[in-house]
Amino acid sequence: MADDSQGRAIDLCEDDADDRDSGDHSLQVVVFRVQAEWLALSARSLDEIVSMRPIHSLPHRRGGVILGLANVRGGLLTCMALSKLLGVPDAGMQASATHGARGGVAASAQGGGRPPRLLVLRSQPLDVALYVDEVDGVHALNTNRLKAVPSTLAGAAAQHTVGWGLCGDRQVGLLDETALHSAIQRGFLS
Amino acid sequence: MTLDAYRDASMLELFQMEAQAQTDVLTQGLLALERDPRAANHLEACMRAAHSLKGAARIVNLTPAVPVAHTMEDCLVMAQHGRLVLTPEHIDALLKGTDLLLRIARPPQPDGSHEVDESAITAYVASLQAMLDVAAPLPGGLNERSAATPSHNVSNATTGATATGMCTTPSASSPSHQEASGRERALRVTAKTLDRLLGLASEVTIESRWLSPFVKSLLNNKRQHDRTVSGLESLLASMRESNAGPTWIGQVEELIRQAGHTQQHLAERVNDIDRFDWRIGQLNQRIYDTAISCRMRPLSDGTSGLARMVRDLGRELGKIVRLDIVGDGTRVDRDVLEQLDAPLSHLLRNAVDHGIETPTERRAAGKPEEGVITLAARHSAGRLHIDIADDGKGVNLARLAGQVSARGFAPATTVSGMREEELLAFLFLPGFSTRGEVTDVSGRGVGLDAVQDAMRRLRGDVRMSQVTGVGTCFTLDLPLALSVVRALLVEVDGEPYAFPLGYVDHALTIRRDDIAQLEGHQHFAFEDRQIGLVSARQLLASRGDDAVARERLEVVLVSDEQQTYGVAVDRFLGERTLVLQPLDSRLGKIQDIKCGALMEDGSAVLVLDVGDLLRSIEKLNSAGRLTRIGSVQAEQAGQTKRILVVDDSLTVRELERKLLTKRGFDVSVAVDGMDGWNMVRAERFDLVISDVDMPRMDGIELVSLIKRDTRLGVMPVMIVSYKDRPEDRQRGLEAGADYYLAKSNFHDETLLSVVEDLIGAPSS
Repeated sequence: MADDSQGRAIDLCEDDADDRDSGDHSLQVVVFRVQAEWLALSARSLDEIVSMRPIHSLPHRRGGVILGLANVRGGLLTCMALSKLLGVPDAGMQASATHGARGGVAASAQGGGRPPRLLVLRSQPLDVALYVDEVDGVHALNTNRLKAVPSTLAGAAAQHTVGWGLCGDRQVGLLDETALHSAIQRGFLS
Repeated sequence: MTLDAYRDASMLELFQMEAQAQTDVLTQGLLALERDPRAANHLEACMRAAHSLKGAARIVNLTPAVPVAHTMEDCLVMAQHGRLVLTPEHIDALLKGTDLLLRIARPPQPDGSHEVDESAITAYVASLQAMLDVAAPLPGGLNERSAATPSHNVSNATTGATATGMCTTPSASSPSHQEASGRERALRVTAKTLDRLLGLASEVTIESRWLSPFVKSLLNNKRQHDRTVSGLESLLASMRESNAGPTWIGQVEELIRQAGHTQQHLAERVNDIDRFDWRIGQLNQRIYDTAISCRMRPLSDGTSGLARMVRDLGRELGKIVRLDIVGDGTRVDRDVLEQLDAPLSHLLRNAVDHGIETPTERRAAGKPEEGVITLAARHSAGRLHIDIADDGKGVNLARLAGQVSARGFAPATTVSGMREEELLAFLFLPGFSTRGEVTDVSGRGVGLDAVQDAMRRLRGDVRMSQVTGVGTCFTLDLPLALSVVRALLVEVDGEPYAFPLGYVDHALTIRRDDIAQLEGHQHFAFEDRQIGLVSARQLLASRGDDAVARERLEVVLVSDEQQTYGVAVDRFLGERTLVLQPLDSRLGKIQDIKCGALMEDGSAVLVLDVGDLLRSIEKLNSAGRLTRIGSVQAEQAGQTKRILVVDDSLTVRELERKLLTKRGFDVSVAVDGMDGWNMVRAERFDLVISDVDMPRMDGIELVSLIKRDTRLGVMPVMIVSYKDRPEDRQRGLEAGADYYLAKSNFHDETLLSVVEDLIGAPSS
């Protein structure tokens, strides 16, 4: 689902049959990578995941959290770098998101070979597009078995996660939606 | 609702539509008849309209309307037959009749009562009949047509005729009717639906572009195929040379034949799809253009009632006034049109009341008795200009100046130094009226400020000019559409930007040799003028290096009232129609940017705010000077309190600056709220003093922005305004202002003492 090479949108309205049998406490989450961190966000809060596209930078506002504007479904949405929003340290894995984004050439050569994407987060008055380095797909996460945030992640990203869980064989940090939304509000003011 | 009641309701609606259409015809015709009472075509048109209304009223059982329409018809028939010459009194009565008919057509109130009671109708019919009786004392054939007691035994023939008339509203039998029916049928569509249509049309256009590269890839396949066939052919040739067996040769020949078939087939398919691509492209373009044009309506849609209003008002005030409308076919976006109604009627009422003199005064001034107000609309450089000019007495400037100081808006010495423009600006203040007495028409103190507010909401502007004794002219300058704009697309540092065509004076290419250095700035000559050159990269703070040593530079000329500048861009991308999209409001105002739009390929383009851009250029231009004086300022920066004065009036700005500088404060100025907002974010200030009424961003918005900001919120803000009604004060303080000072007090010690109360002495 995440590997659609056509670069088409991933429709989150479709239920993933494989993840259905995980009990009452399972949460449908989208798992993605930001720099070196694997994170998860409730699929509910996202409208869709779209392929990378040209992002028009905003004069006098460059170099911050806001990358610029991109066309998603015919509307101009504000794009933010999730790494900067969460304060995830630059792992030096790839050039800055802005650089990759400019000219629409996705920096797909790095990481697991999967291209960067935009998570379209439901927000008012307009949705916000969050730049992530790679999307793994939609998984079920058992919220009863969430562990405390490991001390290794005690940095800025810890403020935005509610706990740590297992998705397949990967440890992912579940993002706190409320904290994410307030980070976005602050991001607009930066 | 019973079925009958439902049927009645829909019939009544039908009648309302007919009544609206016919009263439009009547009003138009009657106004023309007032000037030429014998114009046969107008008499005929009006008579038919009245007649159709009478028939339609009978069909829907709207009995009260019948005698009204009938008497009006009588009056018009008499005029047609020359038994009566229509006087302004007749026209008045007939116009009143059309109003009455419209009111009768309105649905009954919830309690079942009607807006118009029978006595009003009887009284109207009687009064008009009385006028007719005076005109034609001989009963003649008229009595049988008398409408005092309308006959309900309508012959079948009449009913049939009027029923047809009602269905094919308006019937086409006179010039003005034909004109009306030539107008296309209008539908009501919500703006949201139309916007969605527009959005989808642009998506389809973008999506269909996928075909072109697809066709190209097919062509590549075809060429590959061609090579395979020629390969096979040369294989066959060498097989023949080497005397290969006939079976082998036969097989290769068969392969070539088959390949030839598919080759031909492929060529046809490619051809088909190529043609399809072209057709679909054409269609998409037309869908898109049509969707855009759906939003445009002729100005006449919004001006139909104005001529009547001017005429009625004139008569009420004992003046003879005519409204001439020029360019009522000018096409305007429907959103703009709807919001134009209020300001236009305001300005026209104003012109009749304040501008046009009484017939006696006009005679004395050597003018014709009839005053003329001209409403002229035209497109100019992608914007709509409407002039509302009267040939009245203009503004008494001496009296205006007297009032400004008498009301304590400014001391007499300041007032005497004001330019005419600055004086006239007082007329746009709420509560300011030049009339000694308050009239019913205007001069209630809520006039021009409402017009100005409406214009700002429309992203437009209103200017006033006058020549004492000759007339007053208001010029409205508006965008044609709120959401669609023609723009020049340019590339700056690899990204597209759009200049709305309305702000572009010229787009030209200059050679590097044409650029001269003047006082450290780059200039070039254009049409005998020296034009300052600024790089768009520098303005938009792009990271890209601008030292591109190109032989030719592409330059966009933009100007305000005082200055013209050339903005050098990387390259022109062409002219496009853009559908504007608002950006996320949480972004706030982005300097130099107005809004966004999508290009044909679906990528984002930013639409430049040329007003902002010009201010940025002026700042850049004076930056050299500023840095030089900056060194002196820096020494004092530690101790001297810094104050930002935000006001759009040069006089007030300078007055405040002088006052505060003299006291020892370090004062900077900003020309409006937006400029102020950009400055408080860029520099540190101890206090902001702001006016309320300013273009682009008013003082209230500026204060609330500052107070909402976590960093700037602690800085005291003071409002100084001419508006000093309690509700104005309330608004300012609610927004977060620390003090609200009436401008009438700012020239004395009050301003300084308030400032020192807020931030203490100039240096600490």
